[in-house]
Amino acid sequence: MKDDVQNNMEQLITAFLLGSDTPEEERTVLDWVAESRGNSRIFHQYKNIWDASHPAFQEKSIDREAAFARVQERLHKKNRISTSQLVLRIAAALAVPLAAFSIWASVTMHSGRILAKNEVRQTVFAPFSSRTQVVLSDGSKVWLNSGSSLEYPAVFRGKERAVALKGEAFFEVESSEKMPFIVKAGAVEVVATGTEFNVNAFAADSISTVSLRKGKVGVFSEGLRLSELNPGERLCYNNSNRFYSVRNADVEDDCIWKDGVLSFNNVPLERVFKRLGQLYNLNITISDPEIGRNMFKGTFDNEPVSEIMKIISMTTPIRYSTDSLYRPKRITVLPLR
Amino acid sequence: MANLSESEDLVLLEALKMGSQRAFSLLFEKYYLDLVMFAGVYIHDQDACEDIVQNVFMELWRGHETLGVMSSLRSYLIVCTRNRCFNELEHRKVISEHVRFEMRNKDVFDSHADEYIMFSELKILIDKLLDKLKPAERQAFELSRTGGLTHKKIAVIQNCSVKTVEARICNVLKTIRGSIEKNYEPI
Repeated sequence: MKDDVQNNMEQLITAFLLGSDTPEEERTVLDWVAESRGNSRIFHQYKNIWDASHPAFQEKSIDREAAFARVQERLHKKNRISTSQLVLRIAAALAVPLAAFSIWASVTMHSGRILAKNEVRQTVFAPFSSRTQVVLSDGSKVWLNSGSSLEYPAVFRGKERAVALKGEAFFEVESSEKMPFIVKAGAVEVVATGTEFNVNAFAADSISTVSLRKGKVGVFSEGLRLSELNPGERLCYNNSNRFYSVRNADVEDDCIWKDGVLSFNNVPLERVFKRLGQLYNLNITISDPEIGRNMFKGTFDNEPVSEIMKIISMTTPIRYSTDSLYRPKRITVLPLR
Repeated sequence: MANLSESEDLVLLEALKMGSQRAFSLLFEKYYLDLVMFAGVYIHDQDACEDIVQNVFMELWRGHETLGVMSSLRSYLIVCTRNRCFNELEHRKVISEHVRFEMRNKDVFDSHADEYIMFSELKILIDKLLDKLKPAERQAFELSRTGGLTHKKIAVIQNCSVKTVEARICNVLKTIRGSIEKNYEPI
C-alpha cells in the first residue's frame, strides 16, 4: 500500500517537473512535500535530477577561461587603488568639475607615458663573491648580493618608483606615500612606502622570499595581493605551485649578508650549500641526500669559500673534494667514511 | 557525493584561507561551469548567471582571510549562488510559482544542499545508466533532455499517450535516483 502511494507520488512529481500536471495535482505534490523531511528530500532529489539533466544553457557556450580572466581583472582593479583613482577621489572632494578633471587627467597620464618611454634605465650587477651598494635617485639604498642584478630608472618619475630585481637585495627605502616603491622580482612584486626589507628571488630557486625588517610592505603576485607584512615576518613564495606562507622569522639573519656576514642558524646543510652555490657561483653536488639533512649553525664574517667549506666539514659529518683549493668552481660533498 | 572530491576541497579550502591563488583558480576550474548551470535553473539568462557565479568567486577570494570553518565548500558555493539568484529575481520582480515555493522553503533547500548533484556529475551518471533502460524510456528521456521537447511532442513522436510519456520518464528518474541513493553513504 505504501509503495502504491509512493509510486503515485513519483508519477505526480514527474508530471510536476514536465509541467503536465493540473493545478490540483500540483497542490497535492506541494502539500506532500511540506508533510515531512523525508518527503521533501525525495522531492528535492527528483527536482535536482530534472534540473541538472535539463540545463538552461549549452555546455559549450560557457567559456571558463575567459570568465576566470575577467574575475582576475575585476579583483585586480579593486585590490589596488591606482593613483588616478586617488586623484579622482581628491578631485571629487574638491568639487572640481568632472569634465575639466578628465581632460587634465588624460593629458597628465598621456605625458606620463611619454616620459616612461624615454626613461633611461640602468642595470647594476654584483659579481659573484662580492656585494654592491647602489643609491637611487630618491635616496633609497640598495645592497645587491653576489650574482644579483637590479634594473632601475636613472631618475624616478611618474606615480611609482619601480625597479626590477634578479637575485637578492636588501632595500632601505626613502618614504613617500605618493610614490610607492615597487620591486618586481620574478612572479613577486613588493610594494613599499618607506621601509627596510630583503627580497630573495634567484631565478634558479623555486622559492622566493620577502623579509621585512622595518615599516610595512605589500606583496603582490599576478596582480593579486598576497599579503601585507609586519616587521619580523617573512613571506615564502613557491614559484612552481604558486603557494605561499607568511611566518614570524629571524629576519635579521635574512638581511645580515649585506654587512658581509653569512649566518646560518640551524639550517639544513642542503640549504647552506644552495646558498653558498648562489653567492660564490659554485657547482656544489651532494652525493647523498641524507647528508643534506644535517643541521648547521655558524656565522662567517667575510670569509673566502675555501675557509667556509673547511669549517663546515669540521663541524658536521661530511667531507668534500674540490677542483681547486683556493678558487674552487666545483665541490662534491661526501659522507664521512 | 564523491568523498574524494570532498577531501580535495578541504585541502583547497585550507590553502585558500592562507591566500593561495592556485587553490582559488583550481576551485574556479572545478565549479564554475556547474554553478552557472545551477544558476540557470532560476534565471534563464546566461550572462546574468555567469555574472552571479563570478561574483560568488570574487566574494570567496576577498573573504579568504576570514573564511570560517565550513563542513562543505561545495554546499557553501551552491547556497551562495542560489541566494544571489533569488536576490536577482527579486530585483527583476519576476518570480515563478515554483521558485516562490523554494524561496519560502529556503531552509529546507539549504539542508539538502550537500546532497545536490551538479550538472557534470549527473551527466556522467546518466551516461552510465542509459544502457540499462528500456529503449522507449531512454528515447523519451533523451528527447526531453537533449532535444528539449515537451511531453506533448514526445507523445506524438512516440505515438503514445501523455500519461505513457510521463510513466516512461518517471521510470528513468527513478532509476537515476536509485543509483544516487546507492552511492550516497550517510556519515
